[in-house]
Amino acid sequence: MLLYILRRLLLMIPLVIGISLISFGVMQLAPGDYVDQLRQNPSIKPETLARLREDFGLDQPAYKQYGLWLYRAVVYRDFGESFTYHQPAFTLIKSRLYYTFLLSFWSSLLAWLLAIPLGIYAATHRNSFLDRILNFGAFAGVSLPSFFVALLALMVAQQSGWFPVGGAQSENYDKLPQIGKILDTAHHLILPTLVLGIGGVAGLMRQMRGNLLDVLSDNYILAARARGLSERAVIWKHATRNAINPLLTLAGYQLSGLLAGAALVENVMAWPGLGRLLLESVQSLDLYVSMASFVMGAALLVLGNLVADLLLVATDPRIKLG
Amino acid sequence: MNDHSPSEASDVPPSSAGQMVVPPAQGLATSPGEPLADGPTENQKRQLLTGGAARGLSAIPTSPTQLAWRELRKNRVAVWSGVLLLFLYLIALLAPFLAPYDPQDQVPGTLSSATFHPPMRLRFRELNGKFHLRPFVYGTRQGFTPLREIIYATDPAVIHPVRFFVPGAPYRLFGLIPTSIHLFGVENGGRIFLLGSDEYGRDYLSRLLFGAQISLSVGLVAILITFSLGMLVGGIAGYYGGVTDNIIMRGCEVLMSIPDFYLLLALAAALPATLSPVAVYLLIIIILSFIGWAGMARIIRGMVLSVREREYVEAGRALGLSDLKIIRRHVLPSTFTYAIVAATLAVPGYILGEAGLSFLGLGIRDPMASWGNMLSAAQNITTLTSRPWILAPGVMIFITTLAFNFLGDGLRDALDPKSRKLG
Amino acid sequence: MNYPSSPVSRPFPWAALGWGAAILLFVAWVCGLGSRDLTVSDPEFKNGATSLKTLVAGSVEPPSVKGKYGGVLTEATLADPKTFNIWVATDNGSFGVGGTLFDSLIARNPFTNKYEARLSELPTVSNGGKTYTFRLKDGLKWSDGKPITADDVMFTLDMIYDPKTAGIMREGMMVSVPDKKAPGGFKQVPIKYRKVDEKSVEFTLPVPYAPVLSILNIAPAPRHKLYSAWKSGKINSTWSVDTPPSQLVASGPWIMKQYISGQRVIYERNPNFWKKDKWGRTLPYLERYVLLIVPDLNTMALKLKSGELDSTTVPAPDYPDAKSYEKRGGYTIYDLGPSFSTNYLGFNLNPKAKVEPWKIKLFQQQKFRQAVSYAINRDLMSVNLFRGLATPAWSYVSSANKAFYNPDVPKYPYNPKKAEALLDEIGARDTDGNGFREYEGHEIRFSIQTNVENNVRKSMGIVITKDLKNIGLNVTFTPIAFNKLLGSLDAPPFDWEAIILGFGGGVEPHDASNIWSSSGPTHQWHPSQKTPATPWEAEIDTLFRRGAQELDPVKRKKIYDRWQVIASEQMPLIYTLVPDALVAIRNKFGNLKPHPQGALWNQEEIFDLKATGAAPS
Repeated sequence: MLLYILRRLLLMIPLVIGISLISFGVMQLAPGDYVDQLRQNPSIKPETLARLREDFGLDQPAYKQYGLWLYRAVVYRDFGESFTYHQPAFTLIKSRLYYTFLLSFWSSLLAWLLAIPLGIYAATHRNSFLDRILNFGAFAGVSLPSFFVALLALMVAQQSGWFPVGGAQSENYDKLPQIGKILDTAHHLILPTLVLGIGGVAGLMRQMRGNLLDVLSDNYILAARARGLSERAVIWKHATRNAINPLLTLAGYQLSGLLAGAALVENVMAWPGLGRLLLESVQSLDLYVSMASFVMGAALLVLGNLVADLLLVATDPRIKLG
Repeated sequence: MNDHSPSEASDVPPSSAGQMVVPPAQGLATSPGEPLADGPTENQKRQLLTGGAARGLSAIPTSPTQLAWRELRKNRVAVWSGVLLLFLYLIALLAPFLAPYDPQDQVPGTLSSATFHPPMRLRFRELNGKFHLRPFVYGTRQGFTPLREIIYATDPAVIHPVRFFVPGAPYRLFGLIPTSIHLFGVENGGRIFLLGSDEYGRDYLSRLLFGAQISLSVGLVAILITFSLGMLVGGIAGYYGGVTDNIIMRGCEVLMSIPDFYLLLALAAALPATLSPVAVYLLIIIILSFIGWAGMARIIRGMVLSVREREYVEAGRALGLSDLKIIRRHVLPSTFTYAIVAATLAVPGYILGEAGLSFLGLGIRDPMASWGNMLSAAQNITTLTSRPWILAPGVMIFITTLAFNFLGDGLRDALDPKSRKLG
Repeated sequence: MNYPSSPVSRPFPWAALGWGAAILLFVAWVCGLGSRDLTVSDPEFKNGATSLKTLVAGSVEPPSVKGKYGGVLTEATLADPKTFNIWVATDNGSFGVGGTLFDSLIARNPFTNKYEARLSELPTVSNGGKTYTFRLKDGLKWSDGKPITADDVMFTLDMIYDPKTAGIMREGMMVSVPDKKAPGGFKQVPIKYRKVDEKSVEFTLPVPYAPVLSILNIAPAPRHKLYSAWKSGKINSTWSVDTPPSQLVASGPWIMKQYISGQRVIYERNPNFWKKDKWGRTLPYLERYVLLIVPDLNTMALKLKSGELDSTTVPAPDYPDAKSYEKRGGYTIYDLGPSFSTNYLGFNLNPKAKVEPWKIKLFQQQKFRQAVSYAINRDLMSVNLFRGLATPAWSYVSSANKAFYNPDVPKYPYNPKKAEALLDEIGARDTDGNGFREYEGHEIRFSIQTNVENNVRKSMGIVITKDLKNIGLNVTFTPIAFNKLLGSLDAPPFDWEAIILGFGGGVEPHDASNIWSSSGPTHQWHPSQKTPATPWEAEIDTLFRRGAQELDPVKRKKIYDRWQVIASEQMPLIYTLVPDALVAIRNKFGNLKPHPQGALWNQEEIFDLKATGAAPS
């Protein structure tokens, strides 16, 4: 078991290096570099630009830039400094992590909480009217661009006055008592959670439905039925448990999604998450922030997969570690 | 319906009409015939991601295509979605003919303009009650509300009858036949805006139709590229296994680990400043397809892994068939059903992806029309409150992605013999 | 319920029905079925504004009234600050957030265009206009109680002139000394500075320099906080955005209380702010100032309506919507008249450019550029894109710049006939009858580029394309990313044909010398010329050299008037429209003096009409 985990973790190293290489390469593809952005301001002289480029090491050939970055990352665990913020990339990312996790956690939870019972219902009432409605609703949820749904949600918020128009905290947050702070954040969370969560329901629900249908046709379910167990017990005790198992793998994948966030929704809803930072850094060619985010996202993905596999082993006795 | 007990779901006799008795399904991940090449996860993921189609492989009935078709036909939603999609693609194909104007044409002439003209009403009866057999639209005049919003008032004195098969902007039908005949148009130098106009006075219906050409083809072409690449790479990895497999799969994992959207963004930002809109369009497609192929390759590889251990493949090998032949004849066809399902379900992602890029100004660029850039131009409060027709591309995106999802879902069910038992 | 799966009994086609209904409903909704027809004879149509005129904002500063203490003002900004250290900042977000903390020595009053004393008294001038002595006000203190002294000013200049400092203030702190050999016709020379006593600093210029005050209105940096960081070479990463706000000090009306990345900046009253109101009471009146970080303009507009924001700028196309909500929203929209932002269509006149020579030859024809200018329907553009809230522009200086704007320049009101005649004159005629003109045997086709990020320019491009097609020029329009655009603009191979861009100008015309001097690197249409390619470029070079030295304001204005006339005659940059500055401000505030240069520039005086707080002790 431990050996297996160790092996998987070791396998992570080339993977993460590969990812950093690819993200570096992709960022190099874009024309110009960060310093070119500054040319928007006509009062900046070319000499200043050249000086800045030198300061940032952007005057070096690409392979040297990458080599230096890798060396510092490995030896000093220094993932580079943001050009725009003059701050270590990691510090920046950390400042946004909390809100990204908050939003992702609640929206995935919402998606799961809706998808699993609905999936079970849809599987046990296959092709019923309600199954079709659920199906329709779930797919409708993924059929509009999220940035558009986000704006619609904000308009509802403004016109009804029930929810704050974007943001994560009220302006007077710090003057609120502890319980008020929690309620305030919760109030701000509702709309973004809905916008992001609903989008996740369709896939999970269809998956759950499919899995449960599979399981229900398995022999042991027939056996359970034959033993005279109540249908409720068959479905909830035996079938559902096994049907959920494969979904755990999905959860592993979602772990990396947690970090990437949903940049466009965050942008429209003024949510202070990592997605916005990443979007900004990719657009302004802030090389090291983008790379650090990519590498972190990838590392999370690999870890997520590992966790999912371990969970699978824990829940499904048929699976052994290879 | 709630009084029915859930057990009914499985009480349908297994041999009712249109059904086949399917051999008992094999266990999930531990079926003996399947290799555990890379630990249980690979298998689990394959099971998970391939849905029913892959499972079905273990028990392909005698004529799967016929059977699937029959299954599919029973799924009304899927069938109607398919019909709708065919219809949409047909419309897109005929767009230059159906559209009354060129999508980039603003109101010609010099003094008039038609910024945000609302949809015109097609009439048969004049305001004074006079009836015409030929439909017509009224001419309009631009004005402003005291709040400076542009409004248009109909001028009952100016009547523009609608004619069919009228000459207009020249185009090439199907890109081949040069002509200038449009399905309909109006006379007397008027303009007809059946679906209103946009900020620059361009006919919204024409833009929507031409936009369909781009938005509908983006998904289709992208998925073609994704699949060719995915099947090629996945096929090679799965068939040869070993070191090849290992290297390819690690590479795919690297690609898959980078969050799609940001990769898309970085690549789109790298688009060269080409002058040709067609090139931009092609490059965006290539970028979009770049995102999906690794995941596809991975899944195909898993399926190939399981197929190649089958008896008939072994038999082929024993008979001395070349690797290529085996892959082509036996391995790929069996992964094909899955490919169709996954392709159908993946197209909406590309359509929405283009919309997302457009939102950031990195998608298809104005003056070319795509549903994505039309919708992102509609992302405005004033539009949402007072110019509802500008939301038409949103409706089209919604309908199309929904239809693709339903069709894909139906296909998955139809191609999955196992779930048929329960239907 | 479950449907038996025999093919005989089929489920009811819900989906088909649903689709049909949905599509029909949408079509009906769009076609406005059931809505009343508005006809041209309806009074409702006639009473509307049939022609739109731009309102003119007041040009006299309203008097200040006695304010009340307390209250909060909330504004929004699109981007996070990148650093709190404005002396190393390069972006607007940081200048906005950090600039609020630091007052400058002197400042230009936007209404009078005259400099007024801030931290320092107005400087005394001696030595034939070459020496300026600034004396700091008495009793100035940083927010932490330390005195603001001449040492702070000296330190600030040391820091700015240090080449290791990353900021962009250094360029602004240079005096342009005419030098024919230098690029741009000017040599950039730093100012000499010297501490006279604890309160006074003396600046010495190499030559008399007219725009001097626009470069000496610096904001002193706190030496006691930043000196050691600068000495140890860490100034660029000092006061980065993760610095606890309590470690920052301020000389302006506000101190920073809190910054939360991606969310907001909260400021509170600086107890040591120097300025008092007319009644000798402390300023600012407001207790808190909040800057929300809202990355989307639509969201900002919604937040204004919901009351979460007190002020935003309003894009002209959203004016009707925002205006109609004024009463319910409790705000007023101020049309402040023309803004300082200008947009132009420019052609490549560079013979070295990698563009077909016949095109360059065509673009170089003054009559061609004038024809293009005549062909652009600026009034219609103003109505359609800006709801009439924009004015035609003919030259570099916006009419908002009351100090230097010259209204008497050649104008090119919309006249396609004249445009066509001009094109005929230079031999650009439609010889093959396909609707497009030919020049020297080539059909005239060229592409106009702009940066895709800017919606106003994108809109203008689409409209201009149509206007130019009208006079027989086959124009394509290609919005591309800004980086790529710049890449081809000021570096070989200069492979662009026409471009729509703009500059956000200030009051001082000499700031434009980079662009207009023929040897300047940003002399867009033909950059870095060794000797002026045309007589009019040579004349502009001379004008800028004289303008920098002319200390008599009346004579100086004449010089720049002449420049504007040449610019408009020659039209290397064809100016289009100057949009109005539209700003919404909540009604609950007093002492509002919005100006195109800043809606809430007098923050310290603004007060909440209903505030009941006590004066700070």
